[in-house]
Amino acid sequence: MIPSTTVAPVTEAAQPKKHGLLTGALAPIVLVFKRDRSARAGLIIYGVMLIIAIFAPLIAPHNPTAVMEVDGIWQSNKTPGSDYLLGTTNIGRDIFSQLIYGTRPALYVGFTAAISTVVIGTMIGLISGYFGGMVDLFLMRLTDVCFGIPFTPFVIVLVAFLGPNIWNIVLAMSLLFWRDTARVIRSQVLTVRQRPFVQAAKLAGASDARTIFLYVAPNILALSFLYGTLAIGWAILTEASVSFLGFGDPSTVSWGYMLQDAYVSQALGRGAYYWFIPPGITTMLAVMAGFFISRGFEEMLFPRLRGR
Amino acid sequence: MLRARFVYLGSRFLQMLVVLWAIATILFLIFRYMPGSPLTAYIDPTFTQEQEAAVRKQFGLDDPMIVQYGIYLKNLTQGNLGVSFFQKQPVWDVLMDAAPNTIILTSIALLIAYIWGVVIGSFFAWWRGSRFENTGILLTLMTRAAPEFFVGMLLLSLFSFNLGWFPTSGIAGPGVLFDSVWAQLRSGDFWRHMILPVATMAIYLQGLPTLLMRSNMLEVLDEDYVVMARMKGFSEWRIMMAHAARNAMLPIVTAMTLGVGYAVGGNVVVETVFSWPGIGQLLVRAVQSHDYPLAQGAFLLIAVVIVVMNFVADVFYSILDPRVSTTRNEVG
Amino acid sequence: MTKPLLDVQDLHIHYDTDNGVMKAVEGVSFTVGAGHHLGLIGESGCGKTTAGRALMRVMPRNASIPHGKALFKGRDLVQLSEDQMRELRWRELSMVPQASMDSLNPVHRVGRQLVEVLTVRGEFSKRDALERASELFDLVGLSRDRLSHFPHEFSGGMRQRAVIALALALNPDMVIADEPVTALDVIVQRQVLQTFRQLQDRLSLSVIMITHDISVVAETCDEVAVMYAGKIVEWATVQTFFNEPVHPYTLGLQNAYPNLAKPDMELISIEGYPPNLLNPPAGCRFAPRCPFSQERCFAEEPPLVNVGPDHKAACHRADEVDMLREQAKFPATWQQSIENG
Repeated sequence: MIPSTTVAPVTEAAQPKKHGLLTGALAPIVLVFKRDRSARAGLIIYGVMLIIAIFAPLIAPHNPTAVMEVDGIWQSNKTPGSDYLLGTTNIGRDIFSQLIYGTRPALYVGFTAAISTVVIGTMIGLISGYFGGMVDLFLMRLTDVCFGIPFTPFVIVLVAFLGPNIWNIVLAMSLLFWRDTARVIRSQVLTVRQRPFVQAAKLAGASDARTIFLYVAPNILALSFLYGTLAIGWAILTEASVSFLGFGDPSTVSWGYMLQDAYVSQALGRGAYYWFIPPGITTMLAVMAGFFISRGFEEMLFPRLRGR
Repeated sequence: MLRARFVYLGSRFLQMLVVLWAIATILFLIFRYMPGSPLTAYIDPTFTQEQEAAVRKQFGLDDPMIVQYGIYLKNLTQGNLGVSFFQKQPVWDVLMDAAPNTIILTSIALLIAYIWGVVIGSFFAWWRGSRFENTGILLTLMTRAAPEFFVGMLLLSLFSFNLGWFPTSGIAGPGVLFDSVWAQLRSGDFWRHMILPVATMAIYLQGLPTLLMRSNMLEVLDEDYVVMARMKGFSEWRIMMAHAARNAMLPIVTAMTLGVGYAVGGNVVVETVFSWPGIGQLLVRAVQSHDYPLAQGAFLLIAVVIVVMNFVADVFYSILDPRVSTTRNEVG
Repeated sequence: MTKPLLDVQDLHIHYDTDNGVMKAVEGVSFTVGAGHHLGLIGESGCGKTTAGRALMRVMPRNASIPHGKALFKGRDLVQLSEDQMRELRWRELSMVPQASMDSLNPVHRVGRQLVEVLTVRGEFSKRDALERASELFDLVGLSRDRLSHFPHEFSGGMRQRAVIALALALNPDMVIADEPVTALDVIVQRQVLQTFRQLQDRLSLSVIMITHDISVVAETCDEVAVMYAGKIVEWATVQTFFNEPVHPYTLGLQNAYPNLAKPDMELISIEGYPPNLLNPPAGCRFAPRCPFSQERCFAEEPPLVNVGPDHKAACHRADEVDMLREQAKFPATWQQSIENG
């Protein structure tokens, strides 16, 4: 997680944008993908994951939760072979199928958490930075409180309280993830608010809402996206941790669940590499894709002059 | 100059207290509403209605929420975290038994991670664009992207199960009990048990300081005062150490104090993989068994560490960067 | 004339950018005598800072010197190894960089930065260094108790003077001052320029004063070189520069500055922009903006030739200078230059 105190001051990536939210503001975001090779790589990885997730029933040879039986005998602990590409778990489920279906929870969790982080964090940062005063004070103390609450323990406790369901996990994450975004956005809003073009708009009689949406927001959108893409990775990792600790959704076969299953069934001791290594690697790839994309945004926001 | 700093830190301190209060309150609310009756540990299914009522009364579970809240806060300020349902001991004692294990593990891992990060990050920045840097960055990202417990599992599988170099769990061999923390630290067996968990945590934690240091150094190396240092004819070594690194390191120091907070929250997972009897493991077990005073206590302890460290980070930063919290007195 | 302290011959400096090679400085030659002050004038982007930094051999990563010599005390700065350069930096040749405010390390006290340079690069003991640092502060007009302050506690002008003190610390033979007074208000400007004048008299120091402001040059310099788009277009003593300028660009420059002697004179600016140095034009680089340009000017680059004693200019129409000087006084002349382009 990026400690907010270390975010560098944002330089003006381009002219202050005065267009509507959709047209003017999204253009630089599209540009990031055109320009940055690693961001494209990340996007491709997610694209591939999405396709696998959507077509999972067609790609995966078996049902991930079904126990494989041949002539009434459970096919447990089979090593990788022609029947089961990645072998089977200790109660006979097909690992490869589990791996394929695991893309679904990873994507749900990653993207819903990212969206909620962006939306909540940006809204709070905007309101806090723009209105200042008591509103700002209150919201910032709220943010401080969120910073004081440890991630994983909180998600565990909340999930234990609400029930081990993937949406509860996402909810718990949404309650905390926005904190970094809010601080950074607020800080950026404070800078933008001082700029002449915003003050001019207000003098000309623009309402607060209009000023925020037309003038301030477009300049901070890229920053929101940066944190959003980082949130994808955090979310996937947190879900994996929560599942590993046994608080995950038992009806969903996520990669975290697979890792927990393997660990608890002594896969390590039996040297069942084919079981626990693949989900670890896919998780790592999914998180890295998010990092790659965020690097593209980072380059755009804080450009490093090539050889000064 | 000093006065301004005091005022600034004083207000941050007060804010810290407010935050702690808010967290304690949130915890109170969460745990009071946890499903699973808190009394199952104490109540035998054969108790009569009356006996059950008596026990309820004894634990104050009959009183209205407000009263319970008041008692809760009062207890907290006195350091009384209640009594663990299952361990039948005061929560505080249980936590303090486990705390040294977490503290030792976390501090050593952090130290290693941050020293490594500062050194390697500087080299990355210095040799920017080289193959060393490019592969290095990729590897660093991988350590941040891989789940901590997965790395732990890999290390366990390779070094413990496969090569047999290190034990697979716990802080010492079976049946070993340490008299004191000092005895623990002096035990070779303890250190042997600690190597893999520390390695796992350090691998995960070093990602942040490495990337941060590299990023800061790159910025600093472009700064005018570094160009100036070059013009003065200083050696590359002096420039890097006395000028660039010194300035680039400021955010690392704060990151490290903040890092303590994250590490303490995050090592829940590492402690579970290695069955390391620290606070993280206590928390998980307490939540699983609905031992709510213990879970609450552990959670609160972790939160307090984080909040206090956030404040300490503020203090450090104001000391290290003379530009922060001093009033500018520009004359002529 | 005795051998000059610095003799720059046909210096070329290129930048390797994403869009191609930018030829920032192309064939620049000038000399600076011992104890003389040379003013290097030009608008931003003309290459003067690049030239200054090249002499120090402290340039951005993508810069290179493909051709040329810079003979300093007989040694070619372009050919020296990095170790050799490092030896002579600051001891014999120092620089007051542009926007010096940021050249001081924000987390070290100013006095310490002086002492560091004196002990590490000079042969001073800690105590002698402190004494010398105090003297240097006196020299530039800064109060001694400011030595223990941090840079952010100094005002802009004070920081500028502190950097000047730094530049003089090891008694170099030459100082390159890049826009030393640009970011300062007028009163402080005067103070700093006066400091330079005093130093010139007391220390017999050679200075290259890089600036875009000709009034600064008038205050402190002996000779003037005018740069435009990476080339030197005129070189003269300061009196000649002001009384008998030859190159049209110089004529234009003089028009753009208010003149106390002629307060009612209309200020005329030169329209247009300098050329793109990624693909510089074939002929004279000033031709598109020049009110006097002819066909020949666009086709053939004018060489820098003598047009008088201690006076050089690069203009095809240098012999018609009297007539051109007259015409340059009228605003109408300069209006036409856009159409010419």
